[in-house]
Amino acid sequence: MREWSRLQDAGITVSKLTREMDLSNLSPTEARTVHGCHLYCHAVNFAEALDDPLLSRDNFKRLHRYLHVLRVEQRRIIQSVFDGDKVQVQGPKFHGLLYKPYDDDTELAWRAVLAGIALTLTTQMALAKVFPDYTLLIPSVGIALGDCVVANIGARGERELISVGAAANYAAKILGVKYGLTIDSTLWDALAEGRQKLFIAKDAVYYINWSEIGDAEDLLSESGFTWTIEDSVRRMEEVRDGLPLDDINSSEAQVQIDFATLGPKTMKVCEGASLFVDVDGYTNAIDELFGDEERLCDAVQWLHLFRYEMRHLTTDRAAVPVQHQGDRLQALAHLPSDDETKARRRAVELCIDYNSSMEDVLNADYATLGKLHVAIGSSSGKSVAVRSGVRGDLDASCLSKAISQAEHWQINGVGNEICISTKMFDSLDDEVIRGEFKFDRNRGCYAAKDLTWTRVADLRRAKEYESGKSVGFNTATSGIVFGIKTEAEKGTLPLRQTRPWAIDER
Amino acid sequence: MNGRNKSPFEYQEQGVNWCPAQVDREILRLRALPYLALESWSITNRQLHVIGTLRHTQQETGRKECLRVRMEYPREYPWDIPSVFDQDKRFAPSANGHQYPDHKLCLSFPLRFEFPVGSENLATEVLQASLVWFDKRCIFERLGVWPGAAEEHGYVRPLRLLLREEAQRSRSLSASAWCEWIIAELVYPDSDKGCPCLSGRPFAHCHTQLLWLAILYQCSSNAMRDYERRAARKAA
Repeated sequence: MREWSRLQDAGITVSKLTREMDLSNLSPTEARTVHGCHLYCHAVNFAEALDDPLLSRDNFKRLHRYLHVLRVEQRRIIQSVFDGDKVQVQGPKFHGLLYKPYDDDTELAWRAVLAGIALTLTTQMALAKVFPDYTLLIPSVGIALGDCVVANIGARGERELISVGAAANYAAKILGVKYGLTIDSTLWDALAEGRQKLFIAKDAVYYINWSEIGDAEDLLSESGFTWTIEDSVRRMEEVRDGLPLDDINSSEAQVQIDFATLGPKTMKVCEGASLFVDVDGYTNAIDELFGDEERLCDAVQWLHLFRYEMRHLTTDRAAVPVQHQGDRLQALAHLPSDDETKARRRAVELCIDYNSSMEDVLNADYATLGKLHVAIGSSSGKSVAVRSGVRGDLDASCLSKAISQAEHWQINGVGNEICISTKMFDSLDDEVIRGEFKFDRNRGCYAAKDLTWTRVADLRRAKEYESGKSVGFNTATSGIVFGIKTEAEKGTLPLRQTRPWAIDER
Repeated sequence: MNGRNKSPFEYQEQGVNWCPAQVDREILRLRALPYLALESWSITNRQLHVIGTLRHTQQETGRKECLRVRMEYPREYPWDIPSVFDQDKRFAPSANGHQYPDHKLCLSFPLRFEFPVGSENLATEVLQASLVWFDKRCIFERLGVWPGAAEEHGYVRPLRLLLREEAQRSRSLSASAWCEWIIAELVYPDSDKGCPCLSGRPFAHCHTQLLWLAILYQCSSNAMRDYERRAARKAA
């Protein structure tokens, strides 16, 4: 309530990104609608890298440096070569945004394709030259053109961009083809006719035909961009040499991880549960509001409230909010460090917290966009907590197989649903909560629909009414506890409940 | 009318059941209840009507629940049980939701005699029962199932249950068998014969309650059968 009032007083504004502005100095109360190309670059075989004995040695120091070097270079390519912006690094995924030149979709689309080619070759060829002994990362790039809202949600003056819109989501969804560069139909339509031939249409998306590309470096230089593989190799070597393995301090997390203390030289490893909570339907709601500035402001204000609420729920359970990814939050529950079962149980409770807050608080009192629901995925395992990038613009992320699993369940889940791993289900000791989860063979996880604390409390009380135990509830004004005594307690007349409302003097 | 100086009997002679002193006492009692926020009261048709809000907080979730209710005291109070209604028609009346079509809460089967009829605390107990009903109804609204044991709907079926319970309470196998025979064959019990518990005493002087319930059950089931027959004939 107070946060909602504060946000209303702060006066959130949403304006169109124009030539005179950029995304570098966005204040938390400002947001921009941006027409541009969203570009995701993902390492498809990241799970293999996690299993690589060399990369996992010394608490994953090498893996951290490997990804750090790649991220710094990817960021440089997007910002310095193609005049775009890095939005976020989400674990093994890099999210960039290209929005220049303004009002020229043909040129913008071609620029995005070239950036995609450069990012693919950087991961595929340049990185392999810099780290010849490590598992080679297989890139996959997805690009989509469209409108989105970009906001800065960084606390205490930090820069933490999020972008919300169908294009951003779609670009992430069309990833997955090894060495593939996939674009959506909007972007393909925007390309000049001669350049459209470089792509092959399949299932409503377009895949690059590498045999048509020829020499990528020449193609880039012909279009006026100066980037070569050698150039990337040289820069990545510089970053690698600037971060010797001995300088990286990697340790087990015994207390709550504070991401502000992490950096390229400090990382933490922990056993814990990863959680993803995503607002189902928010992107569609935003897409319908483009053009209606006032309602768009309300939508951004709601997103800030959601972020505030989810962050507080996370910290209340001694878990750590890792990153806000658009309308999604990634969190890590790793405490208590000496009791994995308890940590997993706490993570499930946190999942219920998220769903309860959405259903019983945000939907009940702040449904400015209509009723929205959250899809939640969670899985546990060994995780590496890192923050990498350049000074002043470090991205917090967690790396583990459990994260990919949790993300997969969240993406394939529906609103008002919680999906957890078998391990997490096994750690549950509450019969009522256990009873709500059903195994889903198709997804290989336990899923619960409409699971909120209100439902859990209702089920518990219903069970108590059923068994004839004393049920207690407070009266609003005085807090006096009333108990419901039944005859069954006395061992007679199982059906008859003589004076079940009699006051229990507890 | 100088109501303060008249005795309750004088009021009753005039056809007024509630004298001001009685009303004051009752209202004071209701105001002291922690789970009821009293809003207003009035005397309509010689009956005291009270409107207030029942409130409680779920212990686990801290969720606050409120229900505006109207309690109608009968003229024969405290010898008859007050009725409680869902004042704002928050819940849709339904048999499974234990609510009558006129939004009256179904709190207890009358023949169970669960309320302390004749006691000063009758209204308080009815309100406590309403609070429990409200808690159960909230659970029913969310889960779709009425929590805990509940009476069967209608009049005949709970009466049948009551009859069986009474036979069980007699701890006599023959009484239980007799009870099942009465239910199956729909025959009127004969009070002049010996008690089915085989004590040798006349039925009217042994298990009186069982006899009374059996007569009541037969009367009501016959009445129900007649009603159903008439309804079927009407439909035809």
